[in-house]
Amino acid sequence: MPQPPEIQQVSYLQLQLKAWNWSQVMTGTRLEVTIPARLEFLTFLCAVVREYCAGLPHLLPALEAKAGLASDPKRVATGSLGQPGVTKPGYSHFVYSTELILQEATLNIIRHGYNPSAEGQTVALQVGISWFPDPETPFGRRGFVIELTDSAPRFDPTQVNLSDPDPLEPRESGYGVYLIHKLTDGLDYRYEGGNQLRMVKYLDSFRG
Amino acid sequence: MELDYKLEEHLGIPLIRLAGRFDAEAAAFVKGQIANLVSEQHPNLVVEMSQVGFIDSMGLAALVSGLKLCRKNRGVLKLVGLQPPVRMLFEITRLDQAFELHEDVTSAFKTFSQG
Repeated sequence: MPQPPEIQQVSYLQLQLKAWNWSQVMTGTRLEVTIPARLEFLTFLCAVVREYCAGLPHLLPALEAKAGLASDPKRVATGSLGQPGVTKPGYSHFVYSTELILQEATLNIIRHGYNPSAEGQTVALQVGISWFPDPETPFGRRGFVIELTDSAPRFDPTQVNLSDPDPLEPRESGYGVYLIHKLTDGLDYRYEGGNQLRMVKYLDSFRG
Repeated sequence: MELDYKLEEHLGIPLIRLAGRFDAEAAAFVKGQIANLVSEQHPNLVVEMSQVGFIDSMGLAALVSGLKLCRKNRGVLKLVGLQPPVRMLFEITRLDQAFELHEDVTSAFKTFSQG
């Protein structure tokens, strides 16, 4: 059975989350976070995800082995995954990609789904992240499932018409959905009273 | 914002050193700084990013905006020291072919002095 993330880290996060009026539930290897759909909460959301990844002890050796690095959980937990924005050996492409698709999908909802000038809006964005460790799971492979639920106007990113960027005439927008498509291994959208987006990232598919 | 921004100058060309997280929160700030630095008289710019561990679509867009501004003024925007995960994004979006990429600051400025 997979071990739950470190209790100590969870407590720290809960303190931080309370201060920002977030709610968080962490059960087993599933993390659920509800945040106000505003840009200033996005960095915190990503920090939570990094802490979550760092708190999955059974995940780290596999990531390190994939990255061709010696497994040193202490270094990884404190030196790279736990430190936002600083790339060091061990900050794998896999975790980067996972964080990025979460960032892009969330950003998309915040930027296009809500009116940023609406002060004090309390619209919630629910984020669920599950690590599925066993090949016996319905997904058949190891990796993350990220689920986003929000009540913004209907928007289906799987239906966006994507054209490959032209290096001679690079565009100034549209990279977000493009990156989601390129970096996810599975993308599934449903509308049931709100937008429901599910993104799958397999451990054995990351580049590098 | 979790991005450090420092401005230097070499050979009369501005050198921006970024460190940390180049994301949606920092993008507008960097875009504005670049817009202030680049002009017809100063069409070139170097952005050093060896300490940038995370960039998102908005960060990329801010750099593309700078690139277009430099090109419009018949200049070049050079990027220095992209970390592997950041470089991966440039490759996926084919922006590695749009920007002039350098391993270190010295080589970036050397190509300026060679004209």
